[in-house]
Amino acid sequence: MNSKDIIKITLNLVAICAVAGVILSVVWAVTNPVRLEKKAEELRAAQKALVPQAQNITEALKFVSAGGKEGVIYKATADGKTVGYIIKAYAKGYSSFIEMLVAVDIDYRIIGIQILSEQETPGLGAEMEKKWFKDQFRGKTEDHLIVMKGETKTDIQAISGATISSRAVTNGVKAAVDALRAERAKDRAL
Amino acid sequence: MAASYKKLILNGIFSENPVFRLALSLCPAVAVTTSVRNGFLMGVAVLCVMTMVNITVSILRNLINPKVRIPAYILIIATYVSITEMMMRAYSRTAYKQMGLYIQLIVVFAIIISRAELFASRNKVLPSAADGFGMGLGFLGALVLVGAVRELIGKGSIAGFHITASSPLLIMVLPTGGFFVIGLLMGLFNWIDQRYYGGRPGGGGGGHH
Amino acid sequence: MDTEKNPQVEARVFRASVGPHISSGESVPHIMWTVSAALLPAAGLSIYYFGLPALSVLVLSIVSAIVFEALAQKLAGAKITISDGSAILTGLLLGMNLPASVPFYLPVIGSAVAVIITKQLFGGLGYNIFNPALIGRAFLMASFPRFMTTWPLPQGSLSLARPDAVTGATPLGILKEEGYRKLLSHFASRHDMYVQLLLGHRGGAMGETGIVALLFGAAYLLYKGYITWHIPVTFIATVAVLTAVFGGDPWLAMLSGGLVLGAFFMATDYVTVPQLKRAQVAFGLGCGIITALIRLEGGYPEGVCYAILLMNCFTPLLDRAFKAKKFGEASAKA
Repeated sequence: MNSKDIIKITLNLVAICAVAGVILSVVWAVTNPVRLEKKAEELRAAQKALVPQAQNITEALKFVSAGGKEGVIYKATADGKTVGYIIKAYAKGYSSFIEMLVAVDIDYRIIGIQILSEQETPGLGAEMEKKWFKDQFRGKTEDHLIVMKGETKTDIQAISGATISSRAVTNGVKAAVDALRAERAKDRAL
Repeated sequence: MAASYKKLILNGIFSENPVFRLALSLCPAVAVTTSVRNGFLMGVAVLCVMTMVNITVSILRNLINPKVRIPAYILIIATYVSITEMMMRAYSRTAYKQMGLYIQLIVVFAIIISRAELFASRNKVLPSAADGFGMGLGFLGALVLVGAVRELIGKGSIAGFHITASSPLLIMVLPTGGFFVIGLLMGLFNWIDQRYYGGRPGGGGGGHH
Repeated sequence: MDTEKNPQVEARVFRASVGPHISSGESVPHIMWTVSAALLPAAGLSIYYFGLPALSVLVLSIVSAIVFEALAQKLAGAKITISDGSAILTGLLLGMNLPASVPFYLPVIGSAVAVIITKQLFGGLGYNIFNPALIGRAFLMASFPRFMTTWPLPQGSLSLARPDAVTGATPLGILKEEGYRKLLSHFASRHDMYVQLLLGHRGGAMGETGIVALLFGAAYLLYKGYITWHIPVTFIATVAVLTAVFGGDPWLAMLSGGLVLGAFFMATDYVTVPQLKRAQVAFGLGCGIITALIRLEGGYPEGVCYAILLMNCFTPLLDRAFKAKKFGEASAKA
């Protein structure tokens, strides 16, 4: 291979890279704003569904959630008063990190939870996305965030056959509330 | 001419089906085929990428230096896959959430680079397009078939419509079930080939090379 | 292709030439029937504990294993060999691996997977890579987790039950979910716990409960020379040592779960485990490490089944790795 060949080959690849780069930049420029907008919209919709009375939901601060992932605390306000908090947190499930939103009022009572993403066993752990499971959290305080295998009215009833995933969600909710409590202790203004 | 294009397309669907006959790109065939929908979406993504890659490689076949043809093909494939991924992220978010990771993996699918190398780099644009389209259709068909079997046995539904109330055999929607279904379907295809078309025992097209 | 095939051919040739277990001139059917017979005390005890449902699960899995074996061989145009007792043993072992309360179709599906997919599709007895009964169990575990983790309690035993309940967790399940202290609180004392575990007064799969009966059968097989101590002893000892090292209760580890059944009756299957003594020790060690890892760190409370299946994959490798030493041993003995 002489030097002329090397230049030819290099130019060949450079040309392909350049064309590919231009095409990709154009596609990115067109699709990225759409993607960001849709993502923000999804988060807003999930938050709105959790705390319908909130007029304004703003990001307050970030904290470290399970697995070193970034958790976020959002503050929900109505008529200038804080009506609750929404915490985006993670929990280590049976086969994945479960990404969820936990909404609490100012007394740390759970308003509701949303599962944003999970990769648990379909038909078992993934049942956590079902309404009956998520609805159990409504109105619970921290000391009732305990998983029970049988039927329970006061605590959290496990998805049958998926105790690990049920416990992961419950402990994740608990950890999210704890994180909020800790941050509020540090920062009175929150 | 028309007849030979038809033959090229049918070749990819039946006699050289990427999954069941060539045994190529089995990873996605196991990973994403938990339902008809997922198999279909993945299949369509691969079909688009394959057809476009074959066309592009065929057009550029005299411009690409043979010494760097493999990096060049990978670049072309990666470009189309990135475009597909960005489009899905913006316009088809639910589908992207379910299979985003696997969409990126299309870059390294053996079936795409092997068709670029074996066919598109040596043939004119239209036959290359037909080959890519046929192979893509074969892949799509295989993924939908595997997805249908797994969804039916694993969840008791077909394309989201419930047939039974509960899941009959949960293992089928787990990765393990993917291996079972593909293995058994591959056996079935070989058996049909052997019995009705006189193929060699053990699969005429079963070579991995 | 040729280079790929060679090791298998070698392994088979050398297996046939050594045949350490079959050296006394015993036929395959004789061994299969004897191993099945050695399981009978444990099977009998489980029927005593769990009643008619246990009997029906055992009968169903045995009968369907025989039927599927005959069916698969007929379809493949092969000689029907159901009288060699291997299908009966597979069915019996599968049944012993199930809770007595499973619906009727579970043993049937399990037998189909065990006999047709795991055994006959790989070429029949002697060619299967994995233990058929264990694949059947793993398949059922992944497919019907609810049925497979609902454990009936032995009749007359209330030690692990709420007063009104007929099902309860296995000791290992309680250990994983609620901790050692909680498990201990179900018994009068630590000593009482060991005795109860030994006698089988607890929830679990049928073959997990009657440890005494299993040991009785295993002792007979050891005495007759149909199995050797290498795998079972290394397997169980490794689990006990690792459990103790990581702060657990080694006696509990040995007496709970499917360890005794797995170590003596399934990790000693002629077809799917190494033939050489040294390789067998390595096999038992591997099984023990994987079992302890799953129990201590994994998502499931019990790991014997997956440990044996994973080590089954390594059987040809282990046999090859220890091959050179084997020839030395063989000539020294001769």
